[in-house]
Amino acid sequence: MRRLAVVLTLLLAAATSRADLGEPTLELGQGDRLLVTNLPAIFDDKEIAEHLTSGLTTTLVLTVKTSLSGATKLEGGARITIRFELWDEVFNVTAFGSMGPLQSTVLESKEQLTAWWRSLRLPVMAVPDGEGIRGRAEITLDVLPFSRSEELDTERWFSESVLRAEEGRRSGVSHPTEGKESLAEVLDILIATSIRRRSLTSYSWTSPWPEGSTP
Amino acid sequence: MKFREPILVLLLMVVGATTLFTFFHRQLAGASLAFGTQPEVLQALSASLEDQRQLARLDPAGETTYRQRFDELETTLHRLQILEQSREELTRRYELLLLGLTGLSVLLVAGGYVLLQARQQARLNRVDTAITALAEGRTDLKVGIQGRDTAGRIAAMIERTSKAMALDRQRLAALRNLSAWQEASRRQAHEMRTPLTGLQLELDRLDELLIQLGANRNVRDRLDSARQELARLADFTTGFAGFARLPEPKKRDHDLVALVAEFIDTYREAWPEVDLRYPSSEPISAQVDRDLIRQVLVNLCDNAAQAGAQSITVETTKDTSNVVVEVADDGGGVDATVATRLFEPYATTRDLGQGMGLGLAISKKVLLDHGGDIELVATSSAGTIFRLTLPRTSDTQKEATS
Repeated sequence: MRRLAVVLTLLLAAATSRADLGEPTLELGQGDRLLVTNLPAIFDDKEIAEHLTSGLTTTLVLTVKTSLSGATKLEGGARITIRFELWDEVFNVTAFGSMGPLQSTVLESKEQLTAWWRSLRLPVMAVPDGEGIRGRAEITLDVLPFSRSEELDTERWFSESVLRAEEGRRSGVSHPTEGKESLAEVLDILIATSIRRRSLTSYSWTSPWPEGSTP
Repeated sequence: MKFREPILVLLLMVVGATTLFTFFHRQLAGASLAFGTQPEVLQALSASLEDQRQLARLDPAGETTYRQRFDELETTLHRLQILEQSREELTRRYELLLLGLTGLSVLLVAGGYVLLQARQQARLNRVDTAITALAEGRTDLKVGIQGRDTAGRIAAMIERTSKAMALDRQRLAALRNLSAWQEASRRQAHEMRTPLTGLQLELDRLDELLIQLGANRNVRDRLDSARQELARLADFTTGFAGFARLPEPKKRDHDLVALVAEFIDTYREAWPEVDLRYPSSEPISAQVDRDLIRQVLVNLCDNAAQAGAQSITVETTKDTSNVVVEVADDGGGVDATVATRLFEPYATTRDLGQGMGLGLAISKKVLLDHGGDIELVATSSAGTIFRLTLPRTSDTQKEATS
């Protein structure tokens, strides 16, 4: 019973902590674009804060889903990449909305990054014309620890490292294999391809559909 | 019970494979990853990055070089960080692959084992069938199993045993047949000898009476003719008696090569028109009755010479257990009408009065009494080959004799 109580307390504390961050807001922008604004200050999260300055490209994927009446389902999203330049110690940030790249900028501190993040108005989808219906939307934010290109680069490097090691064992000389694929190499590739981006952490909120929108 | 052994073996294989899997997993799985993603390694790389930056500040002239090194170190650091992030998934994939390969290996080995067992079972079934056939008395069995394993060796033994049984049966049948003929000959000789003796005495008395009465020459010539026919009949009766009373062989250890050589040297004088040869070879011993074997050789060479042979070759060789004497001639060959019953008494193509056809029957009896045999190997218009087989004296027998 005591253990259950501890677990419940921890879960409650986590939920409270998430709730303290605040909730994003949905707005209807120009050209019937659904915007996500007032993004919560997630960079104070210890796990994210430590990762942000690792030098890897942190990718934030924002997804908005809604199930309105009439079985109409709407889904949209945006993406933000943040890369801390270890040499210059600045943040290179780029935001991609539903229409493509929005803005790309260089920020010199974490405070500037937080301010930029909070001020973002991310277009996530074009709202179609139709009957005005009220409802709630589900907003999800996934924090991915590295980019797709970094993932591919590491996969390639890992495979080549293993192959170089095997070649070295066979011939005593270390050089990459060219064109030969043995069972061992296939297995190494299978292992290497298990390098996959998985969320460092995820947030989800529900937000009321903005007034006056006509999905 | 039938599946108990395979199941036990499979269970052992699975246990073995699992142990190997656990061992290699503990020893190797993730070890290289753990090494690459050690916190110390990552910290050292981070410190190196900072060093490059500091160096660039202190030595602005070399900034390009320091920046280049910095970028290289940064790339490595990032790769290791990503590996660290994916470590759990990498290890899981590695485990899955290892487990899959282990399972596949076990399946392959199990499949191979089951196939081998099935093959072995099929072989044992054939051996079982062959043993049953052998027990039922069937001869000349062909089991049809090759190989040096137990089943193969047993199959070879069954085939050898069935061959030996077939040979023994043939010999026994031949001996029985010859014994029957001997008994018939003995009775005929006995029945004929008494009246022949009486008839000869009567003819002698008649000759004396004709002399006393002064009979003319013509009458006495006819009487002489009758006496000659009677003598020929007596010779036949003696032949019958000789065949009926063939002696038991008095076997002693003899060198067959020397025996053949001695016989041929003697026989050359009796048949000077025949070219007799014997290829020389190492001495080969056998337990034989010297006189009886000589009689056999005389019979064969007489037959060859009478069949018009110009050349006779007697070659003595040996195999694993026998002495083999082959008598080859270039005569006219054996007539096809008697070839199948060549060793039966009275099997002859000669004209009446030219021989009784007992020679080869006597030879057969002599060889069988020695535990050997005689057979017609080949015959054609180009010649004939007879093969005599006699059991060799083993080293043990030689030592016992000496």
